Amino acid sequence: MPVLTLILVGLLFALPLLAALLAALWPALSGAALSALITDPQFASALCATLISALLGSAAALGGALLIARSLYHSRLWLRLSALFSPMLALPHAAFAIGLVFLIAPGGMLVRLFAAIAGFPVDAPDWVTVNDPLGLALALALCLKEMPFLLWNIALFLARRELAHQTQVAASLGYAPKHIWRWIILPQLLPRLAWPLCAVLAYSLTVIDMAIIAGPGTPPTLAVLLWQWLQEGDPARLAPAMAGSWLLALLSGALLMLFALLWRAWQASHRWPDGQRGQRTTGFGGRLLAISLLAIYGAVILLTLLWSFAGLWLFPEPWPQSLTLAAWQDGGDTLAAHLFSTLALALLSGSAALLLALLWLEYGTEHPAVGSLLLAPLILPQVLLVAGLYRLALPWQLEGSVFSVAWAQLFWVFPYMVIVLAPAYRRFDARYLMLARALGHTRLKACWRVKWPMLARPIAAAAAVGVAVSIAQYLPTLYLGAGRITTLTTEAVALSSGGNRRVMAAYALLTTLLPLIAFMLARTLPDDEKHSV
Amino acid sequence: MKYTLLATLVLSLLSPAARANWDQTLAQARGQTVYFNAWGGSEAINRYIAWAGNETQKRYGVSVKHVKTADTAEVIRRIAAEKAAGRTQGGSVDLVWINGENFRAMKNQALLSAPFARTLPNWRYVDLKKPVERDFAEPTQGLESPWGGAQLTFIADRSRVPAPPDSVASLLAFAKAHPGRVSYPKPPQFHGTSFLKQALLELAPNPALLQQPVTAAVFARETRALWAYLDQLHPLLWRKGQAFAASGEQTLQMMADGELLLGISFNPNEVPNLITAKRLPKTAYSYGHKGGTLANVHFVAIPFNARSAAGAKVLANFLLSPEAQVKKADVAIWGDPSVLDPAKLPAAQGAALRQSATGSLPASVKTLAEPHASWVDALEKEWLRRYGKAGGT
Repeated sequence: MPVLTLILVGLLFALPLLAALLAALWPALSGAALSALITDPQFASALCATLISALLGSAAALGGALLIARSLYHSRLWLRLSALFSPMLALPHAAFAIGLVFLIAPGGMLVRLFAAIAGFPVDAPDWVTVNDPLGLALALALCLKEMPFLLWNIALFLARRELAHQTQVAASLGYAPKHIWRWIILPQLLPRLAWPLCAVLAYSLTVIDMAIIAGPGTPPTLAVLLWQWLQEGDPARLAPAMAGSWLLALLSGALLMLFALLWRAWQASHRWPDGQRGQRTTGFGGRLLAISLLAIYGAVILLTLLWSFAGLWLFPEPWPQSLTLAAWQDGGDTLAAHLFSTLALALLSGSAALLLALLWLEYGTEHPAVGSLLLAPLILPQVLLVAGLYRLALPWQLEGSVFSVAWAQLFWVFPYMVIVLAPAYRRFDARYLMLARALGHTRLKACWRVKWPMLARPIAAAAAVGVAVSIAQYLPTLYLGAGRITTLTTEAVALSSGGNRRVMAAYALLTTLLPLIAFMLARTLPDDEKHSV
Repeated sequence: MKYTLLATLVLSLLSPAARANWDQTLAQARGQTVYFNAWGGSEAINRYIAWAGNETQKRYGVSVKHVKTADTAEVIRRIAAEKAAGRTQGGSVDLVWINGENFRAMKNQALLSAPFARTLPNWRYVDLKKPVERDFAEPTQGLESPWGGAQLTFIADRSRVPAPPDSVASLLAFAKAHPGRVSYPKPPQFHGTSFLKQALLELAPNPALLQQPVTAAVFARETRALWAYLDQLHPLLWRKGQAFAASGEQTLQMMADGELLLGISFNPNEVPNLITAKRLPKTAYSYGHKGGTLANVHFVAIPFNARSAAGAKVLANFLLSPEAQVKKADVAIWGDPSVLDPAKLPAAQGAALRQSATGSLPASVKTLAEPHASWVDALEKEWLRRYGKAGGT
């Protein structure tokens, strides 16, 4: 089994990954490419906007998620709140950004509501809200979108039953919740958040769709600029774009290492509890932030729903002049086909990735070098790997089929599944498996009969994340699909190039629907871990 | 029935050799699937392409799959990659909607099939007075078949702007009177570059030189006035010229959002279209500049490695048919100007093509020829150098 695992992961994932990266590294390896990149007049400002939006967005997402969890983890509100994290996750990044822009743009809903109350002039104010040159609006969008992902990971951790024992002991010793959080939970939680946080930071540095919608334009973020160069199809632009992609990759690697060092330093300086019990705090800040987060998501979803039915809707009207079904009817004939192809791809890449993830976690190695190869697709700019994969597929005529698209999606679905599943998998009580082996089961059978059923809930959660990741994939589907395979997401991008907000809203809701169903299904499974003693 | 008769009539007019060739194409095309890669950002256009595909399926047994793209450069990149990988047949694209610098890029990289436009039976209806054989001053050599016309169109709302600017010079005065209410899409976005070319055609000391491939000396001399103009205009624009609209489509959405007073489009019938679609108010209208506005033709082309080249020709020919062109020009369908000569058509169809809808760009607005395609890249590079960095001038 370990050999089979190695072969499967090697052939489907690791070897093509390395080959694709080599193929993408080749054109970037020249001094001319690098100097063309660095001397481009847009480069410095683009890099600056990238750093500001990614660092601020990721840090704020982490800070916000920790603040909410710290204030609420011991309250009943937390349980109700954690049921809402997955629907927030299901909302695709681009869809969230479109909704947020309509909320906070100068001609957007907030200003319209204010205008309706205060009697504004007919023009929207010439304020700088979204698309600001520093990328602050993009940082806000990233922070709001990534916070539920981190909260969701925190909720998975807080549901552990040993943690309940530990907090009970600490509470019986007179520690207030904030101290329990500080000395018991946080030191265990933060290392487990490392990989999700890496994914968030790397995503923020390389994001394209959200950055186009909410980010700066003159110049855009570095990832968007490189994407535009690649899209130009001009061979002279290709090499600098590839060099820039590697620069982004190096940047995320360096930042991650910096974070790891900071974390070590913090750990070293905060080794022992100081014994102070302190008083209970109100947790007001966290409560307010949680409510604001919910309110923003609620507003974004309601606005998107309203826009998908809106007829003529001019500034400063707070409500459309008429409602229409046009957006839903227009896509009618191809909608079913796209729903089907999207679902088929999600199931195909999701089940393949799940199989790989289970085999990998059971039989694979925990060697850090292998681990970082596994997570490379999440840290590298997506376009780099996709372009390489496409180049590998072309000579074999592999592009343009459902299988090759599912295979390309695997490079993101599989690592995300491992990230989500690994914590639960690694802390599984090994004695169950030993008992099963002692009763004469092979390791595989023991997994099949005992371990995996007991981990059904986290496995289902990982599968749901896999489905959501698959559905969100744009570049792998675009390149490897070669126009033959299209999904809701590629369709949504093509349609949104026309700037029709009504159609964009309808597709945003549709791309939310399938992951939402997956997350809801995952929640219906029994949680053995939580209830067994 | 009427159209079948017409088609028979057309065929009877062709020379016997051409007719035999076309019969052979029709025979090869039957049963083929044509992957038509075309921009998919407009539901009206998507519906029209779906209709055309149904018709070619019914009439010629050619089924059409519309591959909706967000950007035509995507398609060229794909075909170029296929060529680099040695895929000389069985390519992923059979027909591509294209013009301007995209066409030039495909032509220069030899990504197109053999000339075919003049072999299409419906070529006989084409209005040769329109620039149907020069695409941004680049000879088409029959490598692409004309599909529709386009003209740069400015858009405003009668209730807000009763008297629109009629030149780029008066646009500057307008922007002074309404600071922060005017923007244009950021080059190299297509509409943004078109705005630059429009301004250049109005400001250049010798616009005739723009028809020639660009040289450094001519570029410096002819564009000096343009940059001086933009230096004056930018501080008056939306967000003081530190940010720009992302696309022509976005300027129209920003009009509805109350952020801008003027919009920009390349479809002279965009306004009636968007009024019907409830995206602009009934008081919206199109206008042009008194010296005319930039006009061009858009085409369909067959890549060198198309799998279903015969089917692609059948579709291209159908798109050029009087029936398809009249339907396309109808503002309730798409409103894309025809490339056919009304005088060459049967009376009813000719009359249909001469109609104009309310809100459309008036026919009196003159057309200006596109500068040579090589100017596009030069203008974009210089614009980005000067204004691509926020805060820089």
